[in-house]
Amino acid sequence: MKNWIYLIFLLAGPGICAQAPVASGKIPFQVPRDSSVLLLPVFLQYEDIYTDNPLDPAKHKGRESGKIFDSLAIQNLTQAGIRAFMADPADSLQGSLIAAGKNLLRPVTPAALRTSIAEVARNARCRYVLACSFRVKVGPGGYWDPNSGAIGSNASYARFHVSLLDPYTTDGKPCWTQDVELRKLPQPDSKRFSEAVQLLFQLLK
Amino acid sequence: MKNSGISICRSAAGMSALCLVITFMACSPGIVTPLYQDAEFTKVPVAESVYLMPVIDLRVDKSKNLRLDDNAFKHLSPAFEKKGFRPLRVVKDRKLVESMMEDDFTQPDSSYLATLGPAEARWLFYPLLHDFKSKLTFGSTANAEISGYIIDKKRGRIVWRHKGIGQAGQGGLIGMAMKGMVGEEAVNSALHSLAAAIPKNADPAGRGNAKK
Repeated sequence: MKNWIYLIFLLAGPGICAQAPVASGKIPFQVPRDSSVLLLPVFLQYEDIYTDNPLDPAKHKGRESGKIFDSLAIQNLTQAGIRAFMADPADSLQGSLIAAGKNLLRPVTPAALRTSIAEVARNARCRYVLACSFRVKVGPGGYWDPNSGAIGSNASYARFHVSLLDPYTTDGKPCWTQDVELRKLPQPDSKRFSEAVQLLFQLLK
Repeated sequence: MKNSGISICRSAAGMSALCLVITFMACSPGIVTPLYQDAEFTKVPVAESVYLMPVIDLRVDKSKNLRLDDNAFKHLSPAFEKKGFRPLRVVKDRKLVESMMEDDFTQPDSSYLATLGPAEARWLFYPLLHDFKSKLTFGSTANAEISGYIIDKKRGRIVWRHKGIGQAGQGGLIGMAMKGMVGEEAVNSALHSLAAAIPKNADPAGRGNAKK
């Protein structure tokens, strides 16, 4: 009996591990103790894997995922000893920056946006602005064909991205970025989701 | 009695012919509509070679070497030739694509597109690997997601875009031993569906001109 349990764990183990979130960057960034960070609400993108056409996030618990992401982000930053504040969409300046969404996550921030980042950071008395996104590709699920023995795994995945923007850089490049991949549709109340968010901010000290 | 035998034979032959037609229709390659195609691209004959650029790797975990450039050439070059284009010219300099992102294609800037690739090239084909994942369970599975863009440098425009998704896997101990092959099958399947949507060259005579 013990041998069977061992065999099942041996065979299923690598598969279970493969579901764990994976991070791309390994370079840590130290936020100075006297500095604070303005966190923008996460930018959500749900897309069909075949066509890249946008999907309604509400159909995949997108709004709940966004809210939980933001609260987990603040929690992780605070635990790392970073003073972080959530941006207010009702504020006209901060609201316009939030509306810029995806453009803030480009490898080089467009020049037109750099001045508004600096203005928002100055008004909020923050040294950095933290822009986050998660992009979910919704694809076909797994399958098993008992006749041929062919199997397939779920093709959906989610990518979390974070860029720490310094308004005073001249080249427009973010001073720190991180990407994390989760090999399934994000379930906001799942352990994997909170692990992914934790991994995303792990190297920001 | 004889007549009923003949009618049975006739109906059997009819059924067989119908089965053959259905099988033929199912096996024949269907027309694949690309996700985007510029109207002018199908009208203007492409007489110059299309340059195949190195694959832009957008994976988070880039640890697995998939020999993508070779695989892309193997699948795409015959597909282009079959559609009346000249053989692809391969660009091997990875520095040309190192800093490129998906946004360069999804939010294209025409002045930027006109500067891409070798100076002498007009048509560029960019393959993008969005995702590849192989998994070992009681068997092995793999998924691949590859998209392709054709750029007309002269007009600074993306003229064609399509995407291929590959899903492969085999259960059991044999499947576990075949993990590498399953991964390759997923990539090949994605490239195959990408290649299937390459449009016909408006005037294959362009090849004739090239031979002169």
